Amino acid sequence: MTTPESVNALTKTFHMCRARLLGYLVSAFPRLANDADDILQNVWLEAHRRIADEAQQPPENWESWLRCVVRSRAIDHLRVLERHIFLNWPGVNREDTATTPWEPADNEADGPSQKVLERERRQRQGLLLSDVLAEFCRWCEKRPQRLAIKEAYERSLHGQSPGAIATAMGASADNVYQWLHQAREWVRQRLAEKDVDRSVFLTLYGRK
Amino acid sequence: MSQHSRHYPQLNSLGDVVRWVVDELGALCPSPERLRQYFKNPQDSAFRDVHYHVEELKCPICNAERDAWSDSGRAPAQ
Repeated sequence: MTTPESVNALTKTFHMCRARLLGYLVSAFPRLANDADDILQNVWLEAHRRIADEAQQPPENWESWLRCVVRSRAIDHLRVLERHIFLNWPGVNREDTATTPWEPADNEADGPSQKVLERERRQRQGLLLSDVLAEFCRWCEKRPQRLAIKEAYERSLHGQSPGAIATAMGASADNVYQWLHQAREWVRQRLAEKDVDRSVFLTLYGRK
Repeated sequence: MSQHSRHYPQLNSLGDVVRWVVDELGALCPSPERLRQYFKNPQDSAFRDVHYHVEELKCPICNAERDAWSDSGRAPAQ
């Protein structure tokens, strides 16, 4: 398929499936309902750019591909909010958190512009909670025996007691406590390693 | 009204923050591959964790994927 043919196929598919994409977006991400049209417009522009300007290979299933882009852009929108929430959560002082125990302090010899650049770098590197949890999820999925850890942890995040989790999963209470400990320790360690500005870490562990 | 205040979730506790990340950003959603396998065989005990996530928690993202998958007979977004 030539690039003009691909662009035509994209245009035709987008118009045909626009209502379904909109429905998907609003169902999956109801908080973004008011922005759904803008997101779809940006998805269209991004898809057009990829096909027309970057000559990306056209996908086998246009609609599935567009849905994937819609999902990614919707999550991007929510991640901006997530970042905002963590950086403004009470108790997170940006001056205090600019330097972390696991990174060296700013070099006193650095000039102001260097410090600003360094701080921006750390901000960009800040690993959000959603990243850590998604990584935890992929870790659990690598081995079947870890799936119970994920299920138990997800149940606990939604308020189930260890006893209720044990009953629901047909497991012993000891197993559940062990799974929850493993999950929490995995997440805690990952945050300590990656959350360079500590916004997530302080939110989770700095407050009761 | 600013972009943030228009969308800002009401989060009053740490638990609210974590649940918001899980529920709305899909942080604990199964991989697309496992989700597709679950849709094909929802009774398979290998997908108990997915069953809980999709059916009991009613994850809106995964359920929207299922609707799209059912409509098109295609795989969920990769």
